[in-house]
Amino acid sequence: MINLLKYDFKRNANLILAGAAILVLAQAALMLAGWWRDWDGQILYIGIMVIYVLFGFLAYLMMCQTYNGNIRSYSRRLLPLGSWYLPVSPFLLLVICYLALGAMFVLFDTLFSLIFDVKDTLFSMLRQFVGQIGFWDSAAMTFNFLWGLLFITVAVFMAITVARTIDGKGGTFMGIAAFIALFALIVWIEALLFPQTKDDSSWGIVSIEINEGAIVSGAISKANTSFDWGLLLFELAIVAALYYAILYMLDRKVKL
Amino acid sequence: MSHPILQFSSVSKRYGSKTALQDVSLQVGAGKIIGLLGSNGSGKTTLMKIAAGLLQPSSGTVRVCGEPVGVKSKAVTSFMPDKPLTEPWMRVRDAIAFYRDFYPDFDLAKARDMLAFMQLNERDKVTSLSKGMNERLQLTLALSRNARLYLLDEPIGGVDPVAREKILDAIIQFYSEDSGLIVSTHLIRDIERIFDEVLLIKNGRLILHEQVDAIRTNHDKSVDDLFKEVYAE
Repeated sequence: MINLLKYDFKRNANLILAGAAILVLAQAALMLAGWWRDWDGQILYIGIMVIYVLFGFLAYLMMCQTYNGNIRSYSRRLLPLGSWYLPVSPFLLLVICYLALGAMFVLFDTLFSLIFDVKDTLFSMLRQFVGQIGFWDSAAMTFNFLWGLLFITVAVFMAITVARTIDGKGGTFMGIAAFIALFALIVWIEALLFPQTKDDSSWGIVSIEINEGAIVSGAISKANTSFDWGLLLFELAIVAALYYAILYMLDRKVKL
Repeated sequence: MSHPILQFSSVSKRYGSKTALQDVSLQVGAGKIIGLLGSNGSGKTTLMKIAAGLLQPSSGTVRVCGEPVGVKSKAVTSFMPDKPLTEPWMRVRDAIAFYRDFYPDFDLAKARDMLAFMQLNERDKVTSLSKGMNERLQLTLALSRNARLYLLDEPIGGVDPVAREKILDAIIQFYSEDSGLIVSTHLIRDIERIFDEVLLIKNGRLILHEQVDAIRTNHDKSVDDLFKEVYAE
């Protein structure tokens, strides 16, 4: 797996390094301009956060492109390894990219709060929040984020794999249709099976309730974390079924 | 009991309504260089992809050294397909490193010998190589493994006569005697000299599997002449 990750990274090395350089230069330029022209710190901070979100999205697209390239690449498909590695390797690359992006954000956040004397930055609020809810709830939140990421990624990989079972543009449209249909179906089934615990925005197992008034003032006072085991089992079953379907299509249906 | 290097048993492959292979059965033993001959669209590439594990047959079974096609068979099969095995970001040395990292039977010393023989520079970017040089690199990668089964799909297609000779010489010099080697082509005149046996495939059906000497003796024809007779339209 390490070797596969190495070659996935090498394939995207130019993109990743250029992206990192552009991100550093863009935020340095914005901070310098903001400091020079005395821009509003909050607005500048939000602007740079938007750039980070954009780069997070681009990293996700890169992972999808890597998976799409790998499943059609003879050099990968001829390797004496099971098909199971094809979805895993690009996902791990994404997790590593997100960790690196997170580390860059923490560095930026710390520098920003020092230079612009802004106290309520995202990182400081997060630290305060984690301090209040404790280690286990923080770990549960992190797991929730990773689970959501994994769940969506498996669905996206499923759609890409479906798209590659048909030649031409028809395949692309089929992939998009499969993705939409899949999510509509899952949402519908979850609403049927778990009407009392599901809200519109949550994918995953952790439900967190926060006093909204406290967020506005920057002082979060309450967090209530709970596991919905039924939902977790259901989503585990969905991920396992999708992963099996992906492997089946990779072995039997994808056009090479 | 020793198994054949490659064994097809009643293999068919359909793409929707189109039949690419129909009830193909064959066996390939060790120490043979076999020409897989057929016109365009006759099913040569499909047969090779099935043997390499890139495609699943619609029916029938395929075994490599007694193992069904899968992870184990891929470990002993070296396939040079019609598309490059390298990636655009690679230099020649990266392609060598990729093979060394993933194939335990990759022979680095043999690869270096082949690179020198093929006049390839390890520092060259893959995208800067001409078509002929790229074919040489792909062949170097495929033959540098000590595999049991080599599958070369059109290794001399689209390269000049000098490069063809170089590639054919490399095949003879670097392939292992205890392996089976299948070369698909429709440029028979250039490559006929290296074959021990030929497989003729037409419209997805295997119509002949015979030794080259037997063709010359029994039919009183060269393989090229026989090919022209079989595929005349």
